[in-house]
Amino acid sequence: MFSNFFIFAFRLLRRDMLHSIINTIGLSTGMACCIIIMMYLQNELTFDRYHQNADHIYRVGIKITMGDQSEGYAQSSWSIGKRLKDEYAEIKDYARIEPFSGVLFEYREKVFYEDQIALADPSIFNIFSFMFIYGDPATCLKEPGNLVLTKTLARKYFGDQNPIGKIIKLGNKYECDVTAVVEDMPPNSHMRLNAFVAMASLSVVAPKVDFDNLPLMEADCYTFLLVDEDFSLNNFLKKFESFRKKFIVEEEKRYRQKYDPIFLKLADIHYGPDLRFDYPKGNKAYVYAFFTIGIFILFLACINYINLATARALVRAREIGIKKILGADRRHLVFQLLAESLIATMIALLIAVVLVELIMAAPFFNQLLNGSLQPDLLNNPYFLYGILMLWLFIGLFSGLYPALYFSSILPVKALCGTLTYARSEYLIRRSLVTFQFVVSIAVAAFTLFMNVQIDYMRNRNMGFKKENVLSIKLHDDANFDKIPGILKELRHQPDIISLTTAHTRPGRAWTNLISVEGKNGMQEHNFYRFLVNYNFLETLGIELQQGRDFDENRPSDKDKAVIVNEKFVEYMGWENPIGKRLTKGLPDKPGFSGEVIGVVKNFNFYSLHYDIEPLWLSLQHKVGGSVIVRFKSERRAQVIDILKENWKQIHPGYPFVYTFLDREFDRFYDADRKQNQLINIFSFMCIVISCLGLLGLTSFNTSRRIKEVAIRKIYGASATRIILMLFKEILHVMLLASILAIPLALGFFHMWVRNFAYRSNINYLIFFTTAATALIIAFLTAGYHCIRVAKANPVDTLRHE
Amino acid sequence: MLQTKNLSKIFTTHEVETTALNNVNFEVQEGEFVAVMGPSGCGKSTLLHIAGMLDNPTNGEYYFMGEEVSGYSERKRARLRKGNIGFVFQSFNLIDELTVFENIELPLLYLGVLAKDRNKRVDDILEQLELVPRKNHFPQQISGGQQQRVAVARALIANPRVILADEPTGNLDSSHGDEVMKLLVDLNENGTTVIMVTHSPAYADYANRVIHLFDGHIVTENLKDKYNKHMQPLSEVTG
Repeated sequence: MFSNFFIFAFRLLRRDMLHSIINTIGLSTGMACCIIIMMYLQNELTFDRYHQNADHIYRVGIKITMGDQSEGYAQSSWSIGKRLKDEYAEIKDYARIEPFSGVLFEYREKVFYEDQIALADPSIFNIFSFMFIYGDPATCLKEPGNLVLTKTLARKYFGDQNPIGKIIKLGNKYECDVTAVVEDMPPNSHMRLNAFVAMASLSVVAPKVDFDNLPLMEADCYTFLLVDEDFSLNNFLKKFESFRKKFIVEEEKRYRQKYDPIFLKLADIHYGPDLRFDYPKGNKAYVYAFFTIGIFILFLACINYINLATARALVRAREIGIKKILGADRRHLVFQLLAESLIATMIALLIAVVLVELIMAAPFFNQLLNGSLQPDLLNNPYFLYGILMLWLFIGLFSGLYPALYFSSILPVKALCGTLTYARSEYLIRRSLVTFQFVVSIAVAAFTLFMNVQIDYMRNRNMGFKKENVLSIKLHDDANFDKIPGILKELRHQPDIISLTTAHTRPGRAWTNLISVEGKNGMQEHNFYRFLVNYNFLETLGIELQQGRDFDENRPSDKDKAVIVNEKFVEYMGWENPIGKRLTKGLPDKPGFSGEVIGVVKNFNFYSLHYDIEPLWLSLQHKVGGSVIVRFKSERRAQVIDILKENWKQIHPGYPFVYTFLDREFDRFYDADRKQNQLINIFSFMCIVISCLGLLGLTSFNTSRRIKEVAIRKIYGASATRIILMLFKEILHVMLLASILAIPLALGFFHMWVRNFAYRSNINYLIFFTTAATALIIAFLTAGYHCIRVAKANPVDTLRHE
Repeated sequence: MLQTKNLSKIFTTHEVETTALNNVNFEVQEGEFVAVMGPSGCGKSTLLHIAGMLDNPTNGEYYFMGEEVSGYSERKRARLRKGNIGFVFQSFNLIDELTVFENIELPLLYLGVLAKDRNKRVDDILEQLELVPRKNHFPQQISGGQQQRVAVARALIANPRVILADEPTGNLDSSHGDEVMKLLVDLNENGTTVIMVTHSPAYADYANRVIHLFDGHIVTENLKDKYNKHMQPLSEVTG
């Protein structure tokens, strides 16, 4: 019996090729989108879970409270791991990780800057799961200078050779021996490190520092704890009071801050709280958006199947009628129709899997997803299970209505040709297609809103000039003595408008704990700080609001001049900011002490995801950080050549690497842009699937009205008039869909835009544009059927009646 | 075998009522060959549909093998139909996606006959109706006469007690029509009850009895001595 179902279903698909192709394209496109979304969600929701101990690893961060101001940090002190392990039996082990970027790696003629190079305790290989290709996890990070490379980095420097025992020079001076090679960390790791340097190397670099006893208040590295299997965080926090008394109370008094630890489970970090110095976080808004779009696409694909299947009711009614007369009961027919839908879905699924593999292999798509999705579907049991569920769901869900509908057809009606389409059935189909266009128009409008927001962020006046500015990083062993002279010479280059140096600048800022003169004496705050050189404001086009800029002719500026932004003034409630005092350092160990000489207008020194915060600027004592150069836009290549030439004197042996400030800022929106492109693709898919649905509806509608059209034509209606009459129905569907899409698109957009401190205005014209485009696409899609029916010879139609 | 008492069928569309059958009383004995004749729209097909339990009457009683079925649900009627009634239609009503063999096999499939038995029975009937060379063809690949032979084979395969044929020769030329009629006569001679709707007096002549319908009523019922080819008015027969 089952084999009969299958043979019959295949013949049916073959016979009605056009509908079968429309159906298969719709289903396979929808399923391919769903599979990619499933992969995306699986990747997003399983961050760091691949570690065997994932449920027993906690990261220790800290929350520092000053007065009523609290700030959370992802990092913690060098000493907390050991102290916790010593105090509590349930802490089995700890590992500290301090990552660095822009580390110079040198092996023979290969010299590159490398990012995400971490100083790490040897215990990381005990706590985390790494796949070792070469080397021994127990000993590879024990000795100073031990270096563990990931596969990609090992291949970069040593090709396919075994690199164990090879020496790589780091930072132009530290010789490290490669002791192991591990597989790259998977893309779903919150921190993706490229190499590990033994923590023991600190004893060579900083022999005098007792890292195990550094203050807990100073957060410098990431600390991970491996806890007992029956560890309960709540119980542990209850016991934490003793630790507080022993180690924290004294420090709190000294620093005049309150200290609280933040224990975060490894797998919760990716979607955890926003903490300073943390790695980029996952955005739940995208997870929800993709999940919703996935569900929508799933329904859109099902709706197509339902509409196309039931649109063929009159054609199939005879067959169903005959089968009933020959003894088929309803159960048989339901089975047969469900088997048909399962077969159609299975064919679509196979095509979808091939599509997914092809899509994932396309460089554009791979880049879009950071290569983070592995299309190895057949070797992933979760996926096989997921795909099986997807097949069953779509197969059964979309087959159910046609199955119940067809099996209820009365044989006598089917055979006498008295079966007609009820108006209510048409309304159901029309509602389903309207729903498809509501979703498509909403998603398309949402992507356009996203485009507007991203353009707005890219083009918004940041309050400083980031165009035609490049930045070159200076390293610790640069020829600092020569730099001021070289910079002075460069300033006279006609192609260079202005240049300066700075440790921190827009895009890279740090915070410092400072005491600021407030209404009631000195107040402590943790504010952003730029450590800069003369001409900083000029080079970046930052405008002064009052007071003056740093002055080379006033030597005292180096020690005590401070410039603040308007936000700082507003925050402190100063009426006259000039002359206000500001000190940095501990009460018992004061450092910098200065006073405000000027106020700059507010400017955004980070992406527009964040609001402007209070900022203060002071002068570098020694040139360092980065050289920042503003140049004439048309002379970019020449300026780069000049700087490259001078670079040899500043940093002999270091590769010349520079970044453009505008591109660096642009990269802040990379994730948003990528997600936008992805949603763009899915929105396109929604439209394609919906158009297939419309094609089905039109085919249904025209076959329903074929007799009416013939009669109208006999009584004088022109083909154009008939086409307009049929288009009017589509117009109604599209108008209704466009209106219903407005709240949905706005809902999506508001959910997404919450992540931005600065938001573009909603341009309602977008709805009009989207709806008009959708209408044109709809007319083009439906045109063929409408024109065919309108041009048909009425005599032919009525002869068949 | 079949008996109707005051059988009526009224079709209602919106506010318009059309009476297709009006107080029809007739009976068919087992082994009879009855032809139903009358002009278009007189209710012939409706009578056949009710007799075949494809539809229910609006009023009256209908006894099929002694069972009153006029109020039966579609499900109950389907169960009773299965294996007891075979249908032959004017437009053959073969399923285009199934081969000749599969079309004939269909009723056995729904009766739950095992594959081995099914194959044997279909092969036998194919041979009997000289359709073996066409067994793997699809309906659209064979002639109209052959299609109707397939339809008859399909109606016969489950050994039904009654064959209901709705203008079985209507779409055929005379040579193919004769062929199909010969099949029905043979069947009847072997004991199967046949009720046939036809427009053709010549084909009606093959039947033992001819019922004439007009405007939903039975107007005459002729019992025929098929050996003498002599028609008698019903009143004379019943005396």
